[in-house]
Amino acid sequence: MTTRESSEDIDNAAAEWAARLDGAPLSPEETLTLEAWAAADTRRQGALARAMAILTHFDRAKALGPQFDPRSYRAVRPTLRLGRREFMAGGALAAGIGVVAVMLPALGAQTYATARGEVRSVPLGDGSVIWLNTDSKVRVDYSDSHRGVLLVAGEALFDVAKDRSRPFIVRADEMNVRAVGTSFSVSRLAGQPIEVLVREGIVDMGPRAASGPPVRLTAGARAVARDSGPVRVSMPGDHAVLRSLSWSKGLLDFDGATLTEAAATFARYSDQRIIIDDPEIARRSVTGLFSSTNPVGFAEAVALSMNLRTRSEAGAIHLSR
Amino acid sequence: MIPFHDRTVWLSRHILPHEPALRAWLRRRRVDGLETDDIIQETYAVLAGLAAVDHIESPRAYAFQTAQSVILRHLRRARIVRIDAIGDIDLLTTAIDEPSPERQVSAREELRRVTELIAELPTKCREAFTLRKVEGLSQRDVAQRMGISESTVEKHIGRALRTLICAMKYGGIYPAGASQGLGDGNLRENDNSRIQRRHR
Repeated sequence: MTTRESSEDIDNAAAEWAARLDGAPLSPEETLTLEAWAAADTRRQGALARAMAILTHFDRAKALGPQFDPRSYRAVRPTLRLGRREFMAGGALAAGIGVVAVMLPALGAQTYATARGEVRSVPLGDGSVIWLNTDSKVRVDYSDSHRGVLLVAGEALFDVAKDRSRPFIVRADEMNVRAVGTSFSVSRLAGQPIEVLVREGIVDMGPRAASGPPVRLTAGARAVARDSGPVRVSMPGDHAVLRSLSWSKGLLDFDGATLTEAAATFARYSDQRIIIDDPEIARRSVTGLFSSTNPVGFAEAVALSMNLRTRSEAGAIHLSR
Repeated sequence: MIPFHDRTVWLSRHILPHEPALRAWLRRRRVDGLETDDIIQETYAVLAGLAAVDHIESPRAYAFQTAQSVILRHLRRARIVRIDAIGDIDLLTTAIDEPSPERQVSAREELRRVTELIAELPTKCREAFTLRKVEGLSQRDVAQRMGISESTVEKHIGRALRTLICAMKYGGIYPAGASQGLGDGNLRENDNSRIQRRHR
């Protein structure tokens, strides 16, 4: 009996072959050896193709230009906004200064919005990127001294490029959320508190009319606040935060949500409603990754896995026994 | 069996960016006797072996479908098909064909991630890889420049590639904003290490 070769061993062998192919052309003997190796297991063929593709991906490094010196990479980093020095300085700045109110004049500000069901990324001039969730709107106002974003409605994820001289401040209602270089989301949904999720780095959150020091949030944290009330912080952890942010990939990630909760979430992304007539069914839980803009597909998948029936009508799909 | 250059380029441009999402999706399938890495390798084998790819309008959807057919083939071979396994597979046909926002990640962001990954390679390995990929020297010229043998250069490139293949497994060689497999434990490890690296 033979033991099945692990995929990792295959990947390692494939890397060596890809490196060999990247050098001088193979001799006829080497070609035969490689072909015999690959013929023995289709996984090897796939691993080799993949290793070669990954190596090819790095051809774009040519764009770094001949002045790029790996030995002095640290010196190159600051221009890429990744430098240690900048990061530390940014941290110090964030620690030293409390939350500042942002004025957002209508002039010169840029507005971005998404329709229901749309998820959109908005790259900004400084290298930061805003991911706008369904039915959301932001107003961006950059100046020499700060980078201000007003979350008018909905939910947005901010991947902030480090710039120690210009703090990045998101305002939602009465709350300000301040970062130097990090990744976090803010949501402002009707009837719900302002919610902040921190994916990476550190942000400070506090009322715009600063009544005290802001609350410092680290990666994996969730914070909620109503109006200018107290900021309540919990630590669901990095994993849970990432799951909550899967909307930025056009996906909804449910982990034991009830069908009622799932239906309510889908309603944010589509006009097509999911209606569950039976309260017993409504309490059942669902786990899985689903396309956020396909409530019908979701309902059908749920029906299939829970042995339920679906019935479509204009603007709605019913789930029943 | 050795893919042609244009197929390699196609895989690198149109399939690799979707691999993290595909992995995240596969990890939820949990098919007995079939690891995510096995399915990934089988999927690339199918894609590399296709006679043509011009007809593929959505490489992302095609890759997901291919992975799904790999699983189905395995299930048929195993002859025991669990009800929930079927449900899972049907369920995911719905999540496949959606356009997703990761295609909009800028070339600049991609280049930044490429730079980060190169910077994290071990010194000699990084030097050889930089001369090969940034300056575009052949392995032979890299050997001459570094005053080492060609076979040592090949070893450095191989080692760099092993590291990058591993990076691909744990979150990808694309920027954080790209199609990372969200909702997965491995990603969490990767994200933590990325944060720690920044602190270093």
